[in-house]
Order: sequence, then structure tokens, then C-alpha cells
Amino acid sequence: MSLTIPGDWFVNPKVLGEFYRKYKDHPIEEIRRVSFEQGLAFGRQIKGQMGIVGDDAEAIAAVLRAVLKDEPTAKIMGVEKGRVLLRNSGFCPLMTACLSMNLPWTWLCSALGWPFFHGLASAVNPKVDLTMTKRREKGAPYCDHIFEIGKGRLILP
Amino acid sequence: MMIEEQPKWVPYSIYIATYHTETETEIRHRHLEMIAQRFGVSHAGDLNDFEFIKGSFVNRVKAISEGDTTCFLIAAGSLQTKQNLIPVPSFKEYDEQISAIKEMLPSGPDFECALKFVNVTDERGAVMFLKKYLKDDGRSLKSAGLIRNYVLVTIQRQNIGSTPEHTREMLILQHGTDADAAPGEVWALCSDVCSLATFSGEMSRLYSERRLMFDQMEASENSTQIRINEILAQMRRPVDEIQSSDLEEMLKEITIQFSRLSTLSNTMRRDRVKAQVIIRKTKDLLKRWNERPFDDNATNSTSTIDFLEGLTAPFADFIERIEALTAQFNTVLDSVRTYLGIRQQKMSISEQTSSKEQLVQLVNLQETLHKLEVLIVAFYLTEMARIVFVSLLSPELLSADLLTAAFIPVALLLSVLLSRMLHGKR
Repeated sequence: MSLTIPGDWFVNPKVLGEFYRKYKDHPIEEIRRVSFEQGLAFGRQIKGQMGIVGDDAEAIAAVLRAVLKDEPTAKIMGVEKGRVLLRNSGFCPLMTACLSMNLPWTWLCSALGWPFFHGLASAVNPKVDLTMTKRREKGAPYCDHIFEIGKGRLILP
Repeated sequence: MMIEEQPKWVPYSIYIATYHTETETEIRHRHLEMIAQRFGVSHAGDLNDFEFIKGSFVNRVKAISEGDTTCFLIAAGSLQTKQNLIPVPSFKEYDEQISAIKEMLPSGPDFECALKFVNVTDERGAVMFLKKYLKDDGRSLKSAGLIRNYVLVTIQRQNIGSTPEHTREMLILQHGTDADAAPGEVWALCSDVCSLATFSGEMSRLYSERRLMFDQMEASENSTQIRINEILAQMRRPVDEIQSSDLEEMLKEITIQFSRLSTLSNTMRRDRVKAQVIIRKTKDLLKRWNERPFDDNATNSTSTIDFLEGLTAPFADFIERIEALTAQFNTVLDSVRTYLGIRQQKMSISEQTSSKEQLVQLVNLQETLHKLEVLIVAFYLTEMARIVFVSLLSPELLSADLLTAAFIPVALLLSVLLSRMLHGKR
């Protein structure tokens, strides 16, 4: 079964529900890979449209800002020393969708959400690491995504 | 052996587990078939309820489905004492029977309940047995009540953490029932406990699915509150400092937040209604028990309802907090509306001032035109009069030019009168 992720999964709970029911038993690594590729393509598109140049933290932050400009719950908290801190708080779209469609929040963030963000940043620099230092599905008050140049890994401590 | 009626033997150890499943038939058949195969039960007929003999023990396995929940009941009794009730059986042996079957069930049930049956002489005997049992086991009593000829006891669970209770340990202490009637009454009580376990399982699952959200409420509420305050602070700036694009962004954000809060609130309302239905069904069942207090303890009915209501409370709290945030967003929206109103009013006043100035200019222009009109008419009248004077008068008698000059004031007067007449008619 070839895996396809709908382009509007992050804004359309219905699509998210259908995706989960179809692929819940699929190997999660494959879903992550496809989600990463989707983020990567989107990131490249944004980079081209906005004329973002460079491969440093500022360029990563610029891509993230452009993608999240209409999202009130996600905010770039800081860009310093080659690191970008993206914080997600409040009632994020994935959290709301999971509740309304009765979907497992942890699974969706891990399979779709974080790999997609990692892909977005990798459009600027393929060596970027995404480390989830704080995760709300583990009880933290917000989700902290740290992007920094490393080995191109998604790190979930 | 397939059975239709309740068994004639008394179960001394009973295990009940409930599972949520979208394909209950599949899970039920798969696990019951595995148990039947392992213990050599014939495959003929329906496998939803069967019993088998193992050594001197008799076991029963039953699956009951209600909605999306499947409840498994496993019971172990003695074959040799069908007619004579054992006062206090050796539970260890019966529990081993249960364990051998239980391990073939799926892991992680929504709710599980272990029951033990004891035959006592009377209520006093029940008190004495209970004291000794709890002392030997180092446990305490949670609730107890009299139901018909039984004392139904719930033991306090160990390691009470923050997770909701999804296991229960109970004792059925029977007194004053003859050996023939006992099996039927015990199985009827087991059936009721199965229903209670199903309801408790449904409620535990409903709560567990939302638990992350309940835990997140405080943090999400705080960050949303901060954002509301930020928007309100922006609104407090002087009117001229806020651009239309700022207002547009604010409205977009408020719309997004409103839609999410509305989704969350409606979903929680839906779940609260589900929880209330579970409580209603539980109350109906417990009403039939007509449970009476036993030895100053809280009754099982009260304890069960308290447990279920305790799990429902976070749903109501969540809805209330979401509504409080929605109300605040309404205030923000009102501020934006008021702000837009003030802006529109200012624009309207400025437009009015500008219109007034234009009107004055127009009036002035019109007056000038009127004056010009009078002069033109007077000029034409004078010219016409000159033509008349030239043709009528001989140059020797009177100069036509002189008369024309003398006619100018008359022409002016006539043109003013004409102009007034014409404009007066309009």
C-alpha cells in the first residue's frame, strides 16, 4: 500500500481522521519519512517564493515564520547561536483535531507533526537537527522545537 | 459443553474484564476460540458461553457485548461440592484456574474486577470473616452493602495513584440462602457486576482518552490568556496608531481561536453527555439492588456513583473554562468592533466637514455665476437698445450713443429683475 499524506492534514481534522484510520497500523517510520518529504517540499516552495537565502538559523526561522504566519499558537521564541526555538502553546490545531475526531494525539504528533517541521527546516539546511525538548503529550506546558545544525536527525528525548 | 442456562455450581473465584473494540465479534471469537482450543472444549455451536472441567475444578468462560464494549467473565468453582457450599474455600487454587484462562485474554482491559465468593452463617459471621480477611491480607475496606442475602464488599485498592481506578476487588459474602438457590443468585449478581464493569470501563476509557487534554488545560488556558491580554493591550493604543492591517490580523486570529474553542467545547459537551448516559444506566442498575448499609460503611452504590461522577467532573470543568475564554474573546471582539465604529465615525465626520466646504465653494461659485449672468443680460439689452436707437433716431436730433449710455443703468436694473424672476420661478 503506497502511503500518501493529504496536503491539508494540519488544517483539516476530517482528513486527519481518515488518514489515521487508514494508516494506524502502518510502520510509523515510513509515515515519518513521507511527512518529512512533504515538509521538505513545502519548505523549498516557501524558500523560493519568499526569496529566502542562506542556510543558517536566520533562514530557518524565516521559513518557519512564513509557514506559521497565520497560526496564533506557534511562535519563534528566539534565534541565537545557530539555534531556533519554536514554541507551540495554547490550543494547537493538531490537539484540537485529535480531541474532536477522537484521535491519538501522541501518535499524530510523532508520525506527522514533528517530521513535517523537520522537513520544513531541512529545506534550508539538510543537516538540521530537530530536538523536541518539551512535549505537551508528555505533560509539559508547551511544545519546544529546537532546530540546530547537526546531523539531520529528528531527536525525541 | 455448550450451556444455555446458568450453571448449577457456585463460582468461588470470578474475574471480569471489559475491552473497547470496534470489531467486537472478531476479538470475542478469536480469544474465546483460543481458550476453548487450549482446554479441549468442543467447537460445536456458539462459543460465547461455555464451561469445562479441569481436574476437580469447573470453569466457565462467557463473553457479553454491549455497544462497543465486550465483557469477559471467567469463573472457577468446585465440581465435588456442587450441593454443599464450602464455607471458606482455598482461593489460591481457584485463582490459579482463573490465571490460566485470564492470560489468554487481550492485555490492557479498560476495567477489571476480581470477585471471591464466601458462604457465611449470618451477618455477624460476615463481619467476623471480613475483619480476619482484611487483617490477614493487610487491606482495608472501601465500601460494603447488603443486597438480598449477600454482603457485597469492595476492597480498597493498593497503590492509589493519580490514574483513575480501573481495577476492583470484591467479596460476595452469602448468608441465609440454601445451597440449591445459591448458584442462581450468585450468577445473577455476577451478571450485574459485569454490567457495572462495562459501565465503569466505558467511563474509564472516555476519561483516559481525554486525560491529556485535561492535563493540558491549565497551560493552554494560560497561554491563550496571555495572548488575549496582548491583543487588548494593542487595542489600548491611540486610534491613529493602529493600522487596518493590524485589525485584520487580530480579527483573523480571533476567528481561528473562536473556531478551536468552539470545537473543543462541543466535543467535551458530547463526551459529557456520553458520561451522563453511563451514570444514568449505572443508577438504574443499582436501584434494582436496593442496597442497604452494612456496618457503618459506605455502600457500593454510593461508592460506584461517586467514582463515575468524579470522572465526569473534569468534563464539566473543561467546558466551563473554555466558555470563560470564549467570553473573553467576545470582549476582545467587542473592542475591535468598538474600535472600528470609532474609526468609521471619525471618517464620517471628516467626510461631512469636507462636504460642507465643498458646498460653500459651490454656493460662492453660483453667486458669481449669477452676477455674471446679470452683466451678460444687461450687455445684451444695451446692445439691443443701441440698435433700436440707431435705427429710430436721426444723428442730428440726438446722439444714439448718448441714449445707449443712458440706457445702461436701466438695462442693469432690467437684467437683475429678469434674473430674479427666472430664479424665483425655479
